[in-house]
Amino acid sequence: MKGMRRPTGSLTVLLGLVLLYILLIALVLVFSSRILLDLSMNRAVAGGLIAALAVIFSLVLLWAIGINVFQLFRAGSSGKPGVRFKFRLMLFFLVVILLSSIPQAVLSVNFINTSMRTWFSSRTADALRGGLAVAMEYYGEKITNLQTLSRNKFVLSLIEEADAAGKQAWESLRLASPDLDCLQIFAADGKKIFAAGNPAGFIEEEFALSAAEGLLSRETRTDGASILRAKKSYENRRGRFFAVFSVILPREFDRYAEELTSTLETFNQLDRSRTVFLLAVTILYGFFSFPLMLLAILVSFLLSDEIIRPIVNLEEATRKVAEGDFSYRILSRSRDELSLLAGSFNRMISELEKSRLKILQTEKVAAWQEIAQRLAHEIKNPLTPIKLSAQRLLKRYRESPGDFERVLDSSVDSIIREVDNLDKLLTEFRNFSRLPAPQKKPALLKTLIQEAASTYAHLAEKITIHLEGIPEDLSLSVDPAQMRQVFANLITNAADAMPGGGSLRFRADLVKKGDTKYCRIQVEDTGEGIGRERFSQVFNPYYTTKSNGTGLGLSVVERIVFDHKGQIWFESEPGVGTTFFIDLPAENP
Amino acid sequence: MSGLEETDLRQHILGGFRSRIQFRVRVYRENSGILPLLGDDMLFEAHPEQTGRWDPFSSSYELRFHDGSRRYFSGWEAFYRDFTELRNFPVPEFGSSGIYILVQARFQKMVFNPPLNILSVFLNRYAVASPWFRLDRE
Repeated sequence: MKGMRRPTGSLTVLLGLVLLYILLIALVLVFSSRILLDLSMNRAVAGGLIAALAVIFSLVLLWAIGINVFQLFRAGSSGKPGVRFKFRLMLFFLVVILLSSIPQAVLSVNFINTSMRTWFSSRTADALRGGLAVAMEYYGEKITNLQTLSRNKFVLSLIEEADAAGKQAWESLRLASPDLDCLQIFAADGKKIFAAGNPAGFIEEEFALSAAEGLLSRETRTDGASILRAKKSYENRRGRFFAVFSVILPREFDRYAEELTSTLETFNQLDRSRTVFLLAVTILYGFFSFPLMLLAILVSFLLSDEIIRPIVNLEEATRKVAEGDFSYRILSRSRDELSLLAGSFNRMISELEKSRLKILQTEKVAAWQEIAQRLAHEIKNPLTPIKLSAQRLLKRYRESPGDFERVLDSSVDSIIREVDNLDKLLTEFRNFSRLPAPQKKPALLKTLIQEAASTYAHLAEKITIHLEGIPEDLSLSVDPAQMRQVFANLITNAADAMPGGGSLRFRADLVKKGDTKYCRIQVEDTGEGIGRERFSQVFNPYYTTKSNGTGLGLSVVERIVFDHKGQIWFESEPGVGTTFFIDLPAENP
Repeated sequence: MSGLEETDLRQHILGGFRSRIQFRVRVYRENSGILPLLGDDMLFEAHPEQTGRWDPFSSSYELRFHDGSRRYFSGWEAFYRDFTELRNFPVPEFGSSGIYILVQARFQKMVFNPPLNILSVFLNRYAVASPWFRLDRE
């Protein structure tokens, strides 16, 4: 029993695609986290690698989809079953994929756009610019105060007293300038003379000595504190000195100021490149989602294969049964509705096969009965003239022996002729019943027909045989002797159908039925044709309309064609002619 | 470096944007015999970066060096000179036989802040790269 099982190959491919899908998801996660990491570390995104991978993935998937689409169209053009259904399934899957992915894409990009608009609004810009202005004003005020303080004559007089009056002078100075955090007085050689205020703001002696007079560079310490300083030299009766005034900015002032300028910088960048940024986000989204969408399409190809496979199997099984192969069965391991359908189909074919065998048996008995009847009839027909001739001889011999010799010759001739006919009849019957199995070998069709036609060269004046419609190189695997007999019988049949002459045309074409390729041979005559009422009897043994026919010619033809796994049928129009069609397998078995 | 317009760069920095130069430093040893077919051996590679910006508080150009230190410049010329040069970058010693150094500078006129740094993939007009320069160690 032949059968069809779901191949495990597609399951392996499907499994492979699922693994590929998981791998792609993992890669997307890795890359997206890499991008996020790059974003958080303010590094340039490794765009080249990502773009290359996305393009390579997409190209590979597009190639695979292209092959599937090509195969789908090729299968469609060759009329394979299930193609239209698969095409509709693919469209369905595609619509589902687009319906789910497009809103997601639009939603994501829109969300980013909205977030950007919200986070980077004009209010944010105003706040940032305002904050920076406030910070700069505060900073500038500190600088101005420091510069003013270092130039103030009253302050200088207090400083001159500081080395002598000490703490009292410092407190007076603090009252005059509350911003001041510390004061250091150094001798001209850098030796520290006086220091008051917050020690966190003190400057190292060597830096104080080497620094130029005026505003010093802002010092940012590792603990986040920033210190503004101004240096002022002066001279009194005790010698030359210089003082360093220090103002400690609030902790993390520098960091916050830098963050503020950096955020403002980001805002300005976005303001300048908002459209490009949204485009970039969309493209980046596409880089990640497009390969996934392609993979989904590829998976849907395989899924649709799995869905239509039982239907295709059923269609193929139906076709095989229609071609006469009742041993075909659909094998399925699953337990879904389609498997139940396959089981029902198998049971139906099994019952059909039983019924067919029963009918065949009945037909066989009926055929033998008919053959026996016809054979009895054909044997009985000559027995009557034989009996009559024998009785005539006996009667003449008894009643007028003198006239016996005159009757003897004609009666014996009649008996011999009828016995010869009987012999011929039985010989042909024996040949028909013992027709050997065909010994197939490659043979050129045209040569076979020409050889068969040459036997009937004496008919050339009456009948014209045309062989133009047969390719010179058309070779078939047949029993040459049997096939010559087929053509000879058909030529004889046609010649008998055209007593007044006519034309006999041979033609051959390659046709495809299901998965099998056949050579279709047409034998067309311009004879009297066959009446429709005789169509069903044409191939019956011993059926003939000719006075001297045995009625076995077309039966032999049918039998030989059948033995070659072929088919024969005919079309006929009374008064126009008859065309016999013979389909023989065109490929070697 | 072709494509690096000084005036344009100054306007950018004064406009409140940061610029960056990344130097790609590679130290190679030449292979002899049949080994040159396999290429020279790379002994060392580093990508020191320098970032420059305008500091509105100190009204000066701030240059942040590869080692994290900063320097402030009141004048553009000094800032630009130091910004486009790689100084005091320690290259390990590998002897002198067949040793050479390849250096390339990649200039990014505008350093995009997150999340805008994905634009660096798409906006090539903000980036310029010099050819590789070879320095032989004698």
